[in-house]
Amino acid sequence: MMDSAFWNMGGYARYVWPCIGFTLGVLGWNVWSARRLQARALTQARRAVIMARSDGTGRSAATQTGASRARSDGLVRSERT
Amino acid sequence: MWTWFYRLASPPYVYRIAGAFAPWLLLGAALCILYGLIDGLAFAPRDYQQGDAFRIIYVHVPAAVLSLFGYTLMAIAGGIALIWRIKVGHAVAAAAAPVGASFTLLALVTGSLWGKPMWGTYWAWDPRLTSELILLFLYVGVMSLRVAFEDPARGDRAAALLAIVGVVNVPIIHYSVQWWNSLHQGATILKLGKPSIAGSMLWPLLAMLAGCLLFFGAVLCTRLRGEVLLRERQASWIRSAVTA
Repeated sequence: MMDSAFWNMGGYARYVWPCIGFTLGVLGWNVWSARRLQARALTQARRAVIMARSDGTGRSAATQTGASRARSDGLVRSERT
Repeated sequence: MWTWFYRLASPPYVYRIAGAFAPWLLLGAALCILYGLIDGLAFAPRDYQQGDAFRIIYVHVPAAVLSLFGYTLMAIAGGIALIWRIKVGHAVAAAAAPVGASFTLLALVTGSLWGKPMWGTYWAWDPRLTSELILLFLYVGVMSLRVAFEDPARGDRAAALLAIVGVVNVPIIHYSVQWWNSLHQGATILKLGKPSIAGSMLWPLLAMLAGCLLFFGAVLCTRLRGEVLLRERQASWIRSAVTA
């Protein structure tokens, strides 16, 4: 059982507990913002796939040339494009 | 070796691997942080000089170490992206920046709260504190520069350059307590020879360090998946990735 001495932290409670609270807040924010970024990116990617399909410009891997497939797979980087 | 290196440069591979690692890293982080906090706050003996205020070490030191680790990782990833033109490098740098910046802010805030009872002030223009504040400004600068250009590729290159130039601040932060007179205490763990901290105080600190490192990895993996998706949304492999 946690006694009052633990919560009092030898008189330093007003420094120790805000540190712990701020740390947990920062950890929580990191998880939340990372998941939010991923969810936003997934939504945008799905939208791009749907638009490509509806425009009839969606490319399949089977119709790509070897060079364009390598580029889309990230093995070749063209900075100028 | 090179095959592995080039596979790491492939966005679909990185997207898949990051997704597989993230939950396990987060689980490991939660366990280590839980143990570190409980042992550090409830069971580690109080310091004979600082009393219970020393327990701030269990959040301050991991945050400070990760602030330096994050910036170094960002600079290395930026350097790889610039030299080998590997776009995943820019995605890693972009993913690491906000996580590293948040740990830098955490190190500054917890340091201030530790400084008040020990030094009598929340802030002093001490070499360690000042160079850590400069690190936060560098993080903010890198993140701002990345989004300041209309062309994302130019933003990535500019941010990578600033990250590489700014990495000179990392050894300055680490050695500032040796090079200049400082209020800040010297190295306790990361030094040659035996750590100057008792084992019962050291173990929870090592657990917190490991936990925060695993946490950094978990968040980096999750952010990296998002960055890869945002950058690759026109690529053909995305279709199977987002519909899976």
